[in-house]
Amino acid sequence: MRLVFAIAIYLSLRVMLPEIVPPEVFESPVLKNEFVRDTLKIRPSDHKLETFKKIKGPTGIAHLKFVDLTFLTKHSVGIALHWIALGALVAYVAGLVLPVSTLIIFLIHCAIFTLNNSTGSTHHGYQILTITLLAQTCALWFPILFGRLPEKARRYLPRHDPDLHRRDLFVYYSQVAIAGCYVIAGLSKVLRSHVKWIIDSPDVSVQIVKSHSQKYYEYLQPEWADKGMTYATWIAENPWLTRIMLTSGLLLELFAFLLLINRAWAAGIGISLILMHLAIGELMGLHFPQNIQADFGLLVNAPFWLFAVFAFVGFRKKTALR
Amino acid sequence: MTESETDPSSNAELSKPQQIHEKFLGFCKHPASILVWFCLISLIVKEQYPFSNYPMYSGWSERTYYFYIADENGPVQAKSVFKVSVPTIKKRFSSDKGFANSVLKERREATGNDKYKLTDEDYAEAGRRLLKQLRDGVPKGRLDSQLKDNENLDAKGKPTPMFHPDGSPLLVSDIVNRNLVLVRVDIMRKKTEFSSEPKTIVTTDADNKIVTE
Repeated sequence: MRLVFAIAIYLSLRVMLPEIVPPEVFESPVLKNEFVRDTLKIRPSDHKLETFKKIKGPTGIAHLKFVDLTFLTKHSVGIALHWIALGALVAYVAGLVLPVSTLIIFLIHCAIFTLNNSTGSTHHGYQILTITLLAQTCALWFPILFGRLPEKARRYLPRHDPDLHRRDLFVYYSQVAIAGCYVIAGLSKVLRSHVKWIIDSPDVSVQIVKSHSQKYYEYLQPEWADKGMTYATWIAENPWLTRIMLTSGLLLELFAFLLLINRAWAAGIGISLILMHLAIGELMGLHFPQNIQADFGLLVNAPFWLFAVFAFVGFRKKTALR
Repeated sequence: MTESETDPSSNAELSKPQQIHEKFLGFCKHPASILVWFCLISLIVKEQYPFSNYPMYSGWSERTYYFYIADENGPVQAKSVFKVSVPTIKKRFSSDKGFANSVLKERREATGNDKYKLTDEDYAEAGRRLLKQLRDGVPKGRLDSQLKDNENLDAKGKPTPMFHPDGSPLLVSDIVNRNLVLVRVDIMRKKTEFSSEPKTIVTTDADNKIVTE
């Protein structure tokens, strides 16, 4: 679980930080392979941080007067952060000094993407990773900190089964963070538009035309504009099917908290959320790879189900031999 | 476990506020209460990274708009040249923290009129600031990188390098140092028909001064 999530975190940081890997590594036969490059997106770092010159519309900790995040744009700082993040991620995957390594990764991730969102435009793609890191940090530090609180204050804090292993709390809080992101998105729609969100949902076709046109102007690839118009026309011609499709997506968001019931619910809702993201990506050209990575790593839990299948097949074979 | 939790009859002896307090305590102790607190905090603080109320697509409309950048030869590849996505251009212009809003605030402060509405000149000024930010945001090293033509693909289906008519490579710097145009496109839907209407917001020269036609 931690390995998949750590890869997602590192890939997100690589977009922002300067490169520390020698360029000849990307020229190696394996990483030069188009399939590897396109599927795993392993390519030289974008170093997007260097394009941010000043804070314009601060958000989160950027509001604090004594915190000037623009120091992160310096090349030397970026290189140092890249190495520190890499070291902390290795420790995180290995389970070494987990409270410290998780806290370090959270602070770096939060600072970098707070700066990214303080430049006058808000990007929601990386939020799920930072908020999950925050939840994991809380899961690791709460038992340490809460133990020192007076009994009266502890009465208001969530009580967990004393036998619950710290690792279980870590996964539980991560899942709470992921579920929360979806529930909030669903609630925002209901609170703002009420039932009109469903009634007017065929107007998503206008957004599809817009998002595909925007994709076209990014690299001037003509297929984007044509594809958008095809989808938008189909949706405008089938308003009731559109309402059914979008309502199912809204319900999935609103009831995402059910994934906290058990592993099977987490896997079922995780797969449904991944399918929803893939459908949105195809229809609207809006891709949320970080959400898919978080859902796959922390909800679907493929290693557990693979192990369960192998164990079941092994058990059947044994009983058949008897 | 406390006595009040084991004996339900003990609750009857509690006053109404005490009963509410006990229920609140019970809720707080449930592990899933974290989810409720998280949702509440996010909906209250809204956009404060890493918290968000995720307001995108929370309402629909029959019309919308977007922006793109062009030069004298037509649209410019926003991502190849400026390293920004096209939705980011719109966000930087129109969002609460965007240039149009900052110009509006300045005008309202200067005129003392809280109902001041942006004129075409004000939008042009906001557009000039946006284009300046985009030009300034291009890292110096990238000015030397060659652009690729995404309409003309090679045998492997990859974009081909772009050249000037004299055969010299077309660089990011060639675009950044040209006159740039910020264009707004309005999209409207009438049942199954879609129409789009482009409008020039501003044209600026290489020094980022507004060019009047």
